[in-house]
Order: sequence, then structure tokens, then C-alpha cells
Amino acid sequence: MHTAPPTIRVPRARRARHLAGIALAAAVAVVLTACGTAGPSEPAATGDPVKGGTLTLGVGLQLLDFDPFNGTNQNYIVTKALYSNLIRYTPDLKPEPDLATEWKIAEDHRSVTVTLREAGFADGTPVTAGDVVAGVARAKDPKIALTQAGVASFIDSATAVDERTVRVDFTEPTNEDRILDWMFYFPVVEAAKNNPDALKTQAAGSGPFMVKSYTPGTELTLVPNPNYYDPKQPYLDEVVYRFFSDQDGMVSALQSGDLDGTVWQELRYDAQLKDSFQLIDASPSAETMLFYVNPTMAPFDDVDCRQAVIRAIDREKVLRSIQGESGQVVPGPFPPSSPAFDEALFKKVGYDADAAAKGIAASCATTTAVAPSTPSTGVAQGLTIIQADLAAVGFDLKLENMDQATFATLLRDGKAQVAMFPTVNPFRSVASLATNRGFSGGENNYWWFGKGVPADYRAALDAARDALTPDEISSANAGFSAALIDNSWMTGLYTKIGRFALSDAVQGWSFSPANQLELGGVYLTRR
Amino acid sequence: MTGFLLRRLGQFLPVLALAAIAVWAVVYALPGDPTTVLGGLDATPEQIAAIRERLGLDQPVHLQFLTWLTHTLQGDLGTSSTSGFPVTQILAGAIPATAQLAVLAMLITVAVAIPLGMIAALAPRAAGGRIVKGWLSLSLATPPFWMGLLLVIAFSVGLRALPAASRFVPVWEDPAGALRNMILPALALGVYSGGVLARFVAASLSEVMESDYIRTARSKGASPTRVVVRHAMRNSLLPALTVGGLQLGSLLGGAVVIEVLFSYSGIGRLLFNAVAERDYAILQATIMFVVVVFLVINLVIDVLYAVLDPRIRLK
Repeated sequence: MHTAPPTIRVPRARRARHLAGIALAAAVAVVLTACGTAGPSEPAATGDPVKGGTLTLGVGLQLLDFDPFNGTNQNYIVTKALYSNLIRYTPDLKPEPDLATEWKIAEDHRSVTVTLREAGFADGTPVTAGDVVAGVARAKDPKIALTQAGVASFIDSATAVDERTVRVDFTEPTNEDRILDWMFYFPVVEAAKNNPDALKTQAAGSGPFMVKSYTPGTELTLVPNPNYYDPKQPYLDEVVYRFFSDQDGMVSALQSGDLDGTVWQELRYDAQLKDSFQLIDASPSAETMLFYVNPTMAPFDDVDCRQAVIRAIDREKVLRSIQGESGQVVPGPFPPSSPAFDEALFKKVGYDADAAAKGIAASCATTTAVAPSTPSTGVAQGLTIIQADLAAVGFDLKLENMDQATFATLLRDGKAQVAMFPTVNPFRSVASLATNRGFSGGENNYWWFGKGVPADYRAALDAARDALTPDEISSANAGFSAALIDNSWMTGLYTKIGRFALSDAVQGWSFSPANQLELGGVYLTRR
Repeated sequence: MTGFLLRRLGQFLPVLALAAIAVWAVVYALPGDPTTVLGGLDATPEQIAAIRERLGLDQPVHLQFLTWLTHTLQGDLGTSSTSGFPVTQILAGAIPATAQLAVLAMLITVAVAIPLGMIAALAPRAAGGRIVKGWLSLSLATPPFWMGLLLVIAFSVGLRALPAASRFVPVWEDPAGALRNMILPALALGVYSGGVLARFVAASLSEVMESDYIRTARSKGASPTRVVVRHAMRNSLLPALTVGGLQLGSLLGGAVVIEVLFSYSGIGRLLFNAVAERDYAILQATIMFVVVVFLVINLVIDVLYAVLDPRIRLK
């Protein structure tokens, strides 16, 4: 198993200043500049981490709350800075201690005993086993578990053995990969504040930073958590997130020097930023872009039709037009780093226009469908290319523009006929994919409403969950991947890149495999 | 005058009531709901039900409306479903930001419109008049967002002289900082609005300058400056006042595109985000705020009409 580390494009040269001023406005600018702050400092030579400084990052999303159990994209940006989890993953998915210094899985695979390090929450309260117990209890409450519900579904309960030791019991024998994935995802929250209401407007974590001030929709300022367990980190005095509603405005702010970096910006800005900023492909395996068809709606209720339509998609063309040289095409939901990735599956689902045309003519009851086109990165562009690919084989895909909230409701109600959107990849445990409702083995699967997922898919998913030994896991993973391909209600397109643009002064950065900037190690080289 | 004001204020109530119902209906007609934003795509039916219950969306629509109305009349505008902060607190931050931007943009509008409108009306065939007319056509053909982009490219990205992302700095705390942060969005708004208003000033002034009473004033030996300033401008400003008032209303109601472009945290950007996130409480409050702003501005314009033209009586 291998996960590629983040890749970086080194600036070639400082970009020339763009335009001369307009006379009248230039005069205004000169006067006002004199009233403003000092210009940017010259970067110092890179070397050992430097303490101090303020890092200002632009984000194109609005923060929902400070609840790490609500793992939506919006919150994901800052939770890593505010909360510590039980473990971290290296880029190649090897577990490393975070709050948990040791973990021992029982021989019968029915429990894990976790030892916590000495650490403190931002308000000075020490981290204890009771905080993990409270977190597990919340993850088991369907009303407030939020995104922790799926990943913790195999957990029965947690018990504090002593102040810093906790035993987590499972409902069934569980393999190590699934346990580690849960530990990676599990944020330790101060027990007394671990509920959605308390975390709506304040954080309660033990991460490297704590909240200094927050203006919803505008700005969030973080300062170092004095009780963070690593005395050397963080290096920065302050981190400021500025929230933008418009990517153009955010990138302009970066270019103007208002920001030191941008988080998850669209790749279409690469050309104008590449000479002046570090463009980083963070966590290349965090997400995969998928194309779905609804198997409960004609003509996709016929599996042969689904497979024929999938074969009409030229993934390479879609990928290159959206991400340029970044990313890789994939046959299914798994990235190349996944144990379930199988390149041979391209033989079944790879681009073959002739086979697609014959298959569509033979098996599709109708040759029209409607796809919601949303403003999400790459979706409109990708669907337009797929639309042309399908038109070439006699299938008419109509695109209907809508915003993200409308699309989400349509999808969640099982009323989307076709869709293109990314999915978060499972890490070590392939079966964790089913925590995503589009892959669920239960009645919640929004692509199989009223019909139920195919029996062979459910069986393959159960096998992947039940596998304990390496041989069993390997065999079950292959079976699970094959069942996904055989049923073809979705197909993989490409690995989706999380793009960060950082000024040269920002050093020491690294990313979790879940696409989050590890702010503890970041420092600024400018004085 | 007092009776007029009281009657007009009394007329506000049915308008506000109708506006409240219309706003409520429009907001609920929007496809999608806050649970998709708050719960994400993978929220289970139990979680969705819990969110709906927490937001009161599980209640019948008429009950939700009555609850909202009762709380609003008590000064409680509810809580933002997205951020969890009270709507009054959020509005209290956004309204001064937008008001400050609107005032500066309006100053630029007037500074552009009055002199240019006068030149276009008084010297239409001179070189200056032709240049001004050309400029007015250009400014009307340049939408504010485009002007904003050009200003950002020139002064933020190119010269690095002014911020591309404008913060709200209260002018009473730091006048220079406030001007530095607001000048680009205010210019983007003011240049366009100034063009619109200048057209009205020019057309109105041209018409007034042809009037009999202007000829009389000239024949009595009044200087050209006195004729224009004392006699013509006062009457020619009446139509411009209506347009200017509506422009001020639009600016106070939030210049959505410009506030989003400059990431300026005023009413416009608040409204934009609230639509995207289906934040009903914020949507209802901001739209009602805009309605009230327009009602008040219309009233002020009516009063100013009477001040500028004594022939108009407030009844």
C-alpha cells in the first residue's frame, strides 16, 4: 500500500507586476497606501523552524460550527488545528500516535485498549479517558453522532479503565484496518462540551491552536493552545482564516498580498499563480470524483445499460481538462493507493465508444437522461465533456443547472437520475466506503431507494467488514471492488486534487491523508 | 407635515405585513433546505429529523410563520442555522458595514453626477460636453462587478496598494483605514451609479433651462451662474432625487455582487451566503431589512420633494 506524498510546483520566477495604474485612481492609491500598513517583508532564508508570525489563509467555504463530529467540508478546514484525534496517519497510512500513545487490539478482535498521553484542552482541563468514553457515547447516539455514526458503527461501548486508559468494545470481531481508521477519525472533545449545541459557537479541543475570535462568515483567528502536548509546536503566533464567497475574490486577495495562502482553491487559477506561489497537491488520495447513474430509474434500471453508458466516458479527457497534469484516472471509487484499487478493472469499464454504442442500442429502454450540474469544482466542466462523449454514442444527457443545496436535497431524496460528485476515500479499511450513503449496504443508500442494494454487493460488503486475517482481507477487498464494478451504479473518473497555494514564506507544511493542513508544524520565514 | 408623516408611517404596517408573508413564501419556495447544508450528503434520516426538529422545521408552515412573527415583534429575529449566532448580532455587524459603504459610494455618485450632468446639459455641443457624454455612456456600459475586477487587478494585484479583500473598519475608529478598505468597492459602485444619476441630472437640467422662468431670469440680468444654481438646479434635481434615493436604497439593501467580490461583510454578502446555505432566519431578516430601508427612503424622498419645491404640499 502506498500513498503518494503531496506534490509541489516550485515557482519559476517572480511574476512581473501586472498593470500600470489609472491616473486618477493611482493618485488615490498612493495617498491611501501611505495611510496603510508596511509592505511585505523580504523572505528569510529557509532553515530551522522560526517561532512567531501570523499566517493568513483564505477559504472559499463558510464554517458551520466547531463540532468535529460534523465532518462536513466546511468544518474539516479548521478541525485539525483545534482538535487532536487518537492517531495520525503518515502519507503511506502507517499509524502514528496523536493523543493515543499506545493501542492494543484484543486477540479476539473484539476490543481495543487505548492509552492516552498527558495533554490538556484549551481551557486547561486535562484530557482523560472519560472524554473518549463520552465521545463514543455520542457517536452511538443516532441523533447527535453526525458523521461519526458511520465510522464508529462497529463500536458497542467504551469504558474508562483508569484516568488515561480506555477500553473500546466492538459489536463483532473487527479487523485492525477498520479500528485504525476509526482512531484516525475520532476527535477527542472535552466531555462536558461534547454536544452539537455547545460546539456550535465554541471549540473544546486539545489541538495545537485554540479560538481567539470568530466573526461568522468573515474571519476566524486562532492562537496557540498553551496546553498542547507538544511543547515545540505550534510555531505560529496566530492563524487567521478569512472566509470568501467567491473564488475570484479569494485569489485576488492572495495575489495582492492580503493572504499568505488559500485552501482548496479551484485549479483553474493555477496558470496565474504558478510563478509566484507554491502550488501544492495536498493528499492526492483523499477524494475520488465519481459518475453515478440511478439504478431505480429508467433506463439505468438495466445493468447492461449502466455498463454501456459508463464505457462511453473518456476519463483521461475529463481528468486532463479539469486538473491538467494532476491526478490519475480510476475505474472505481478507490484511488491507486487503496488496497482495493485494481487497474485490471479498466478492461470492464474503460473507454470503448464502439462497445458503448452497441450496448446502449441493445439495452437502454430510453436514450435520454438529466444530470444536475452544480457549481462544485470540475462538475459542470466534467459533465459537459461526458455529455459530448455520450452524444457521440447516441445518448442524450441533458444538464440542469442548480445550486449545491438543491442538488443535495434531490440526491438525498433519491431523485437524481445522474450525478457527478466526489467521495471521500476510505483509508486502510475498504469497507469504510459504506459509511458514505451512496455505498451503504442498507436501506439508506440513496441510489437504491425502494429497491435495496443488490444481494451480491451486500454480501461482498459484509465479507470486507468481517475479514480478519490479511488473506481474508485481500480476498474480500477484491470481491468488494468487483461487486461495485459489476453493479455499475457508479464509476470512478479521477483522483480529485485538494489544491493549496502558499506563499514562499510559508514552510514546514504537511497534510493529513484526509486533505487537512497540519498547522502545528507550519512556520513563516519572513521576519 | 406631522399628520403626513403619521399617515405614511401607518401605511408601513400593511406593507410590512404583506412583505413578511411574501418573504416567508419565497424563502420556503426555495428548493433544498438547511438540513442538507448542516447534515451533509451522508446524514441519516434520524439525523435529518433531529436537525429539522432543532430548527423548528418539523412544525406546520403556518405555525412556523406565527412563531417567527411573534418572536420578530418581540425583537427576537431568531438564530442563524448556519453559525448558531443570534440574527440580531449578525445584522448588527453587517448593517454598519453596508451603511458605511453605501454612504461613501453615494458621495462618489453625487460627486460624479452633479458636475458631469451639468456639463452635459449646459455645454452639450462643446468638446467638454461631448467627452462627458462619452464617459457617461462608457460608465453605464460598465457593470459594477466589471469595474470592481479592473480596480482589483490594477490596485490590489498590480500595485499592491489597496486590499482586494476589504474589511469593515469603522470610520469613527480609523478613518484612513476605513477609506483604504472601502475605496475600491465604493468606486466600483459609485462610478456606475454616478453615470446613471448624471444622465437624469443632464436631461432634467436641459429641460429646465428651456423654461420660461429661466428666460425671465436671464432677461432680468441674472448672471449665468445664478440662473443655473439658484433657479434651474433646484427644479432639475427633483427627478434626480427620486433616482438617487432608489440608488441609495439599493446600496443600503446590500450591493450583493460587489460585497461578494471584495469579500466585504455587509448585508449583500450576508444575503448571498444565506441563500446558498438556506439560512432561513438570516434570509427573512435581511430581506425585511431591505424592505424597511426602501419604505423609509421613499418617505424621505417625499418630504424632500416638498422642501425643494414649495408648490408640492404634503397631504
